[in-house]
Amino acid sequence: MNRRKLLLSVVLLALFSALGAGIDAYATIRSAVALEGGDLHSATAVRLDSLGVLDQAELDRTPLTGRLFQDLDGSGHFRVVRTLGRPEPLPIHDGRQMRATDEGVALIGHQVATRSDDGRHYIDYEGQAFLVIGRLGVRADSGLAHDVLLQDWDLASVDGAVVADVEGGAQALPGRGADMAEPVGGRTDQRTNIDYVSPIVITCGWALTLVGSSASGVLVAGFLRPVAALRYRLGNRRAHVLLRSILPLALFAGGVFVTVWGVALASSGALRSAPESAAAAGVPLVLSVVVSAGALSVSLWGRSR
Amino acid sequence: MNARSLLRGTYGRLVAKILVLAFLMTSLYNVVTFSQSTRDAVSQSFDDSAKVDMYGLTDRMTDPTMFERYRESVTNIEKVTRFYDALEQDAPDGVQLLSAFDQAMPVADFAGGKTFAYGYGTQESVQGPYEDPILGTQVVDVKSMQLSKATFDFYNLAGQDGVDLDWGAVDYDSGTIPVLLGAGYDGVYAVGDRLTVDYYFKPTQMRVAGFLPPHASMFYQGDINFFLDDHLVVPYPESITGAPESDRAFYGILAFAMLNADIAVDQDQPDSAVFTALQSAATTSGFDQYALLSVPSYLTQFASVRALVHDNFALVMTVELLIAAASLVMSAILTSSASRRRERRIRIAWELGQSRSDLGRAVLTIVALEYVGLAVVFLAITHMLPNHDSAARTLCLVLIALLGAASLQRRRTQLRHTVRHRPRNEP
Repeated sequence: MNRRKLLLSVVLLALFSALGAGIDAYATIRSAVALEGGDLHSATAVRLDSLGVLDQAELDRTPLTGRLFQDLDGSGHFRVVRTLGRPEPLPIHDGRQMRATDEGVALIGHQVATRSDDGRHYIDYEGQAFLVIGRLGVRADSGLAHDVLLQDWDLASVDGAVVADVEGGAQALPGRGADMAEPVGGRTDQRTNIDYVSPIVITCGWALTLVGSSASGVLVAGFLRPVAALRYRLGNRRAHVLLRSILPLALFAGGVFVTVWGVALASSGALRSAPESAAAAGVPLVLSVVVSAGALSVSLWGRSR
Repeated sequence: MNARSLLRGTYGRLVAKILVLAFLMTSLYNVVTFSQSTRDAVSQSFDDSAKVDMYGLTDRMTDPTMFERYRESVTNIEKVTRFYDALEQDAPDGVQLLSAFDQAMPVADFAGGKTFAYGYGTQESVQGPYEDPILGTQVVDVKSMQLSKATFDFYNLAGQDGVDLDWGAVDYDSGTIPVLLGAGYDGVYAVGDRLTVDYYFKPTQMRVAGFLPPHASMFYQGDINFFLDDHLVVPYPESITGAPESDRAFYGILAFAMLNADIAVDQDQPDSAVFTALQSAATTSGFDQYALLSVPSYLTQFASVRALVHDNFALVMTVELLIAAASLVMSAILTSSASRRRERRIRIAWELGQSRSDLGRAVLTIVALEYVGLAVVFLAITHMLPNHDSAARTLCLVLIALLGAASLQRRRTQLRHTVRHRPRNEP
């Protein structure tokens, strides 16, 4: 492989790895923006007249992904939340997301006053201190600047209305949830056709990434083929030839991966999720290398000395 | 040398190129429709002319008995209606009275589902159908929004397909009021249908004059994302001063309903403008039982929701640029890889004595195959998508044609280059 072909291979690997990471970052930020435009509810969120219509015991057993909200002061801006599984990230510009296992933590807007203690910030509600783990809003001066989210489901009252925002919508809720549910709506997203366009753009992007990285794999295999064929002619075993051709490629892919992943993590701010962006940057690379190895072995095993 | 023998061994690259460009074109097509819808959203709700200081106006008759007693006097009602007229018609430039009130409207024999019921999707509970004593029949309380022409115009509301409310024909004494229905009513009622409603204890006919476009919105009760899709939009008359005394009860309630309003004040106006306007209205009408609230949430929400709409636009554009860059680079690499292979064959064919026009035709066939294939795949994909936008589709097809023309030009040059200065054994 000459220098031009080597450069071209690395460019191809980097191109689709970056595209995968870019689309993943887009999807993450976009869902955060959608939640911010909908009072932290997604388009499939539903309102239930009371928490009582949900079977509490069943709720604890069902592996749901999403969030439950209950308004604490009637304003809609002071809420208790229960995180189920690992839902789409909330829009935050600082700190970290709430986890299902967190208790007594809070996410608050930029304008909300806190009590500082030992370098940590707290917000008090009914004599209980909540540790502030992050700041709501894609940016500080957003519409969520005065919002408070507390995670401690014991604060929720059984009679109070809840907004359930879980994957699968109302149908996924245990108990009589589905019959009583009233949709809350997509709010700001309803102003444009973003709800419809965004998934198509993501699908096209991923389809391009997969087709592109497979095609890159085949092209790179074409670059590797002459030398591999020669090595085979010279008496090396097929598996050995394959390994010696693919290993350097895998090393390059590893270098590309570290670079792209690092850039992706650095540029997505507080919304980042390390495993997901690693997968998004890594899948196209793995696909390229695997397709390349496959194409090369087809040509090696198809020929005789 | 025909196109088929030139293509041999490069079919994979041909298909990959068509797919890569088809994904680009499909995403581009959708992004074009999205940018159009963003432009519409911004011009409807986030124009700079809508960047105003908002105040809330209401009456101070919180005590129901006091309210009832006040309404019994014709003079009092006249005071209220004159106060409204003074603000509506004689307010200084830059101060606008935006009267709107959402009201549960009992509709007889309602044909729609529960999503139209008053309270559905909000914190309030939904009341089922009940027997209305005024109409003597089963009614459902549905969501409705009563508003003035100034409000309607301020929020850039308009009927679908240019069918609009004839505000001049709004005459409450005639017993029939033309109304607009939210887009959700499409298929439930049709233009020209008549709804029998109990409008403040007065049996009234409402004639469907048209429909609002989907997701029509306004700022109402501190919420800029107040959508009217499930609402009955009832226009107020221009003025109800001098209404017939026989309908005193109806006009008494209506007068106070109309007083529920926001006041929009242009930002270049001094803070005192709204107080001056209210004071002079109070002096001319004799009504001073009003209360004014500042509504700072309007500007906050205006700014943050507009920022979100722009955020979405920027995000989609960024990812589309990324997709465009990746697919164009990939397509260029696939093209050059395939054409290098074809070039060798062309050279041999040339040396074997094929004419230049024959070779040119073969190259043309390949380019045509690529781009007609791309157009067909693109049309097939967009045909399967539920939304259709012929302007965006035409734009994409023109782009495909341009790409094809550029590609043909490039290949022709390449062909000239390949065969130039290359001696061949003429027979």
